Amino acid sequence: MSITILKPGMMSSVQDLGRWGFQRFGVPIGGAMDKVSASLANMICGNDENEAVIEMTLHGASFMFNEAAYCAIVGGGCKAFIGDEELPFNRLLWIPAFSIIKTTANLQGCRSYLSVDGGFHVKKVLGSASTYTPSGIGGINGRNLITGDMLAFKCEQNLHAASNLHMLPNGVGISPWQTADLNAAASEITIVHAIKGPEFDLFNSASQKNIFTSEFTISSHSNRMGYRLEGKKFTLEQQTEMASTAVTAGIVQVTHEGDPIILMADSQTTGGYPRIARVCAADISLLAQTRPGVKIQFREIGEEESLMRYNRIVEAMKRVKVGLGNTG
Amino acid sequence: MLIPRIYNIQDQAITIEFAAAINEATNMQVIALQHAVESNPIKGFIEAVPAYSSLTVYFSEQVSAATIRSWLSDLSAHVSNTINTSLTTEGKQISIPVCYDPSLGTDLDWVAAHLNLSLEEIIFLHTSVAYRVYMIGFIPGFPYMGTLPEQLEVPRKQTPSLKIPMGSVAIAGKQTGIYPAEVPGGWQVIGRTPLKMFDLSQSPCSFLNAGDLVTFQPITLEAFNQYQ
Repeated sequence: MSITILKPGMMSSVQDLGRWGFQRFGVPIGGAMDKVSASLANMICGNDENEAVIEMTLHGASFMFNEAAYCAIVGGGCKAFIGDEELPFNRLLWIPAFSIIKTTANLQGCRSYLSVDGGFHVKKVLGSASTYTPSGIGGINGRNLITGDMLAFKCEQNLHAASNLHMLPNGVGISPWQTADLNAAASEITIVHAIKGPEFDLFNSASQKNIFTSEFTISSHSNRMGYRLEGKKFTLEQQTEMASTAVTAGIVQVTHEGDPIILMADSQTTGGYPRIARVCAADISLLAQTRPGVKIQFREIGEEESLMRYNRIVEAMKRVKVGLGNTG
Repeated sequence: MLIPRIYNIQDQAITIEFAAAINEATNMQVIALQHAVESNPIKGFIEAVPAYSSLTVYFSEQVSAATIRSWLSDLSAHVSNTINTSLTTEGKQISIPVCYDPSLGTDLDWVAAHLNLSLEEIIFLHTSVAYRVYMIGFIPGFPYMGTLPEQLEVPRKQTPSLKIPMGSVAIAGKQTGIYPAEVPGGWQVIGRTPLKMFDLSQSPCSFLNAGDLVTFQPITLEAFNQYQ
């Protein structure tokens, strides 16, 4: 079984939950920008949460299913259609052979994840299928997907019998149940919870105040490595050179020009810029669903609340898993 | 010794930082702690990332941040007690061939003019000392090495080059490094090695490791080409 990429849209790539264990050699964790949605997509198909999925950025991608198969789409940034029929997200879908899924614009969210029953058969590199294009590692030949790429499924499928799906006239099946949307997409402004960064005290008082009170716009020069923010500039109380140290997704670093960058999934393993704040782990998936041009504001929280928010997501994911186990 | 600073860089990542300064003694402590951490892993430990003067530990939700913090500070106290009594170099000693031909060391002319040195003097100075690999970062397999002889210190490029070829050996400030892939970069390129710094077919994938000791061996352009 396989699908063929007819169009990659804005950008599509193979991702899983990341490449762990090689950061000491400078290899980034990478993986899905929104790991919550990628996990959910897999869970709906009965897969391990770490199976390879296709990450679609915004819209414009289209895929052909070369055989009938189960799949799921989770996330934001696009609407999905087969012909005129809009496919619901967060549900198990049965797609007839030779169907073409097309995606169109949706003003909510930024990234969508397509999982298939059993997962895609993608060669793992350093333990992960995730595509890291700067070094050409993972996915299909270390690059983003292009027209004509064919992605085969793994041989073992999880879902053998259609379990009371609602069948549409065109042969598409839709599960009556749907999972919770754990990343309620942003409205006009996304509130991102953040903690003071390791170098917070080195910034001048105006900068210390502005980081948690002013609004920023996500720049169009943002990518999987980081979100550049437009808004107030930041200044150190005293210019200092830092020794490079580990950085990771969520870190808000400030360049020599005073511009803040939030490091995202493909964050370098180390960096030498002062870190004014860090976005709590729980809000990184939400941030990944926030598109360029949208305003964000950091709301200050402490370590304990950060952890509490993270645990809340872990618990919610567990509940979804238990719920899915009961759907038969 | 100074009491290290311990802080979260993410809910599941904690850094222990020994000093803000870059020096060999601090980095030795970092690497010694890395080895201690990796050989006594606690439940939930994922990986440790050494940097100049800090070690960062990534862990899963199976273990609390408080447990990781006390584990790190205990191990670090233990390591600093033992490192003072048995000062050893823990890394490999590696010789790396470098061709310093101006066709490969594309910034040699600029460096020579800036420092008022001859080509021979630059090669002599760069190959005169053994460099410690302080950390691997920036891109997969990129070694940050030091300390460069003072006479060779140059600033980074005002505008980074868009493409620095794979294998380029470069200098900036007190550091020297090797570009493992063709990427944009701001260091001054003085030569090129035919060795692969990052190779997925090898284990480990990075040729160098933090803690290794590197010396450079000048080779001719003919010798360089024979490696290809």
